[in-house]
Amino acid sequence: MLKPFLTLFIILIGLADVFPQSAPSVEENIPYLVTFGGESKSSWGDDDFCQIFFFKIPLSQTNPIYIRIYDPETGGELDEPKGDFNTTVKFSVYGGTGCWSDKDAQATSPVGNYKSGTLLASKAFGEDPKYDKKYYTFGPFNPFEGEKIDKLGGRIFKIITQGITGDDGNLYRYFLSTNPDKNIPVEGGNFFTYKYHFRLSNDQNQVCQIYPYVDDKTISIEISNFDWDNDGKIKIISVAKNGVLCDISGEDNWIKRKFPIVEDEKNTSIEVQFEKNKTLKVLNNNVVVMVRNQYGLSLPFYVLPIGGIPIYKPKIQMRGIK
Amino acid sequence: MFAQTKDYDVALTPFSTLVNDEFSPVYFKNGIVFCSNKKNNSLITYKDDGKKLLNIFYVAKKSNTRWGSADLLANELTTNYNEGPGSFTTTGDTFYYCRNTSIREQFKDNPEANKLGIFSAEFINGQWTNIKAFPYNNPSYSMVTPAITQDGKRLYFASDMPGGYGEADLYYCDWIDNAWGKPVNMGPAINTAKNESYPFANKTGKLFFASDGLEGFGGKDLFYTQEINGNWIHPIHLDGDINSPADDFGLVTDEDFRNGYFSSNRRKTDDIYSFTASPVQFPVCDTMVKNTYCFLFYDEFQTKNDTVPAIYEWDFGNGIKKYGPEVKYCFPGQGQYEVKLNLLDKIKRDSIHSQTTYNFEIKDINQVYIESPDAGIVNESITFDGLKTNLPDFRISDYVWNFGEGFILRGPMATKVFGKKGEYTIQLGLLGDKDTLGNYAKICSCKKITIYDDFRELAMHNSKEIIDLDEFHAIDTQKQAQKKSGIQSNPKKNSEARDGLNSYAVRIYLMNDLSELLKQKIVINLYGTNATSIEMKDNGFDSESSQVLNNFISVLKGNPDLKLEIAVHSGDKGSSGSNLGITAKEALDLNSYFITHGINAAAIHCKGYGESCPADENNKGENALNKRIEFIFSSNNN
Repeated sequence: MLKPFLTLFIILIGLADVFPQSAPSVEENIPYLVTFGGESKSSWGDDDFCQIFFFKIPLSQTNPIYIRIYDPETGGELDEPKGDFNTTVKFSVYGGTGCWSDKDAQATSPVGNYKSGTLLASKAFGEDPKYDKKYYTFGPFNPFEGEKIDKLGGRIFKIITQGITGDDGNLYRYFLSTNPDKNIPVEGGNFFTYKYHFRLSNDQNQVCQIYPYVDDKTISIEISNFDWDNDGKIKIISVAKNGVLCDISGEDNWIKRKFPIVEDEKNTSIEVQFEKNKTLKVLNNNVVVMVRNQYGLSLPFYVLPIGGIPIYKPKIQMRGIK
Repeated sequence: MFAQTKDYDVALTPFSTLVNDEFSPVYFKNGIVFCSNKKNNSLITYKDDGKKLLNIFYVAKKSNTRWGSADLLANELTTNYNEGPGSFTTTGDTFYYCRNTSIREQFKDNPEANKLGIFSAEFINGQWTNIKAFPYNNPSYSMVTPAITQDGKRLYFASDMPGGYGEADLYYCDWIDNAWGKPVNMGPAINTAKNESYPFANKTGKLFFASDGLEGFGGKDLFYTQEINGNWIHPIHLDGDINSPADDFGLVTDEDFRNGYFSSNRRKTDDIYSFTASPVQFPVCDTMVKNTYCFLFYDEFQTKNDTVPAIYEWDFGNGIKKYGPEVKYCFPGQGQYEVKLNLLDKIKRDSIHSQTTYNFEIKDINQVYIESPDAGIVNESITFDGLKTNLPDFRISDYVWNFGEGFILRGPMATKVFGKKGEYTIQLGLLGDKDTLGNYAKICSCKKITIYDDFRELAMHNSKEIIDLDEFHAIDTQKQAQKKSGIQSNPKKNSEARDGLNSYAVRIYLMNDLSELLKQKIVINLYGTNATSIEMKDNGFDSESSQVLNNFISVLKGNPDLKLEIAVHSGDKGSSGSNLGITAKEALDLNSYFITHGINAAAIHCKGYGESCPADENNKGENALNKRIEFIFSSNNN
């Protein structure tokens, strides 16, 4: 009876080839990433106006790769205005030594040497109809310009999206491609981040999820969410957790909760599921989520969950009774 | 633990002689009947192979130490050929004995051709008469040493008939439809390539016999075996006080194997010895720990905070499925098992969301084990079984039971009737191998058992109310039950008499001795019944109540292994005598209803208890908890 799930898993892996390789991904069902201008209020759902994503290029990839950004400008229908659009957001792509391995790069706050590595390309966008609902492409990048990290099995690039001026919300998506004009997935490529800033769907029936990866050193995780606005439930699903509820944050605050990690969950992805409030409609809800282990180190969220989407697998125990 | 032992006091009977043979005693009246070749004062015309002929004698026991003179049992049974040994039915009026098949002169010079056969005689008007040859006597082989069982329905004997395992084997014939069935060889567990003979079955079903093929002290030795669950256990060699390097054979004993007689040629001629068991001494017995076959199954990861809706389906692989995050299940015994847990989608129900399989082994504890119910009823026999003992490094040579009178009763299985309510300690001691000094290895366990006055008390101690067993229900059954329950009345609000009806709440209990499969069948068949009441009228039941009773009848008819105890209880409204009378009458009415609807009277027992057993001790009034009918299902196999 496990066959259906295996099939599902295979299909999902296959989707990466058929569908664009994006962040957020199809599996996550998240509409857009979000970054607010540097003069925004954090209560609008962005605590630090900075989104740092890494993209992993497999060692086998030798042809150039491109990072394409959908709707990079701040204006038009998709983005979130606060009054007139007045925001500039800067996208910067980094590679080379320290791009990922610098400890500040993996931190959840844009402080210290978080812009580590070699700056490969950079572009700031204000309100610009030319890029409204359109793509801007960074690259070509030689895969060898990424930082080779053996334990991650590839070369790592970093893209930092930072709100410079203004107070509007920029909603956008990343695409990894082997083509500057089309979204052709890089086979074996993946995006990950240590702190996820995203926009929830306005559709109350939509459920979205993100997938932190738990390594074998983890014995507990602390899930933090910011500015959830009490918009429904946040559930944790893993091979050993069947929808355990997470504490939820209100307006402009962080809340965190610790969960133990059992042996079966090590080296698997965990699903943090966001189920919107069915009775009270919350529109344009932006949220920030991060997960730390017992040492306070951030766990990566992979947009294509490592090991596949976790399926709860009950663990049978028996106890003698009289 | 080793200890010196002398388990039996053995004494030569005074009527045994050094001149003649005396052997194969059997109980008869207040003495014993035995075989002997002593002179019988009759005119001897024939000698068997130069030996003196055997006849059947009787000797009366005057006291524990004095015996009368040994005389021929009956002239009418005495021929000029060999007679004996024999065996009497319990009433003493039928005698099965061994004799040369022909008593005509023609075999005088050819005794080998005159085979021995089995004959029966009846004691009518002071005489043994109506002598009949056993239907399976045959001129080609001998049939000897008959032994009739206490119930008269089985005859054991020895024969060298073809098809056996060598020389003489033990056989039996069963009395079926007023005739003896064909001889059945007792099989290789008992019979060897040499001789097995001289069977004797005591009241508890133990079969004693002699063999020179099984390992013993030399010559013929005495053994016993017992048929347990259709199989004969490996023969147990009797104690060294009874067996010797000479031939030891022809033993009779009482039901406890406490006193008896046996034959031996340890003084060169065959003699009869009496024996009395001395209690075996055991060191302090360990308290037996019950083997655990019942388990609570649960999902280690499941928490009360889980929010993903799912149905837990536990599949035990034998057709039994239980539902819920935690379920209880009892396995039949030790062994390898597999349990599957399916998480079903709560909305689609039949779609498996996740599946886990769990393989495990249940092992018995290393100990002397007493398998028996934990509780029983006065004056009803309880069987105790020691065969589930799990001591791989201990070679068991015998089982000895202590029911309060010392370790005397032998055998892997014993039955006991307790005459008084109370708590009893049962001990089972095992004898192992002897060391070079003749000391037995010994080990023992004890177990407590509670005896109650009646079945209802026992049931309350040892049963579960059916309402606790919801986990059995298949999803579809649950759906039906939910629909049903909507139209059924709640007994807790419905116990008061109305319109001339006497209304009782229904409580259904399942005794723990029922198998999981039977429990499931009952629960599925009766689901919803626990939410009803029985309305009794002067002339029977109302139609809804009849339907409820018909459900019970249908369950009993479909499961002949079931027994149903029905206990009718009142509250304390009115006098206690009147309440007892009313409930006794209601019990009788229920009994009649079941019997007239085709239920065997042995499968049902109804009793009115009046107000003596309130379910609600704090409120003995006429409330729904107290005024009730309890339907208690138990196994009919005990």
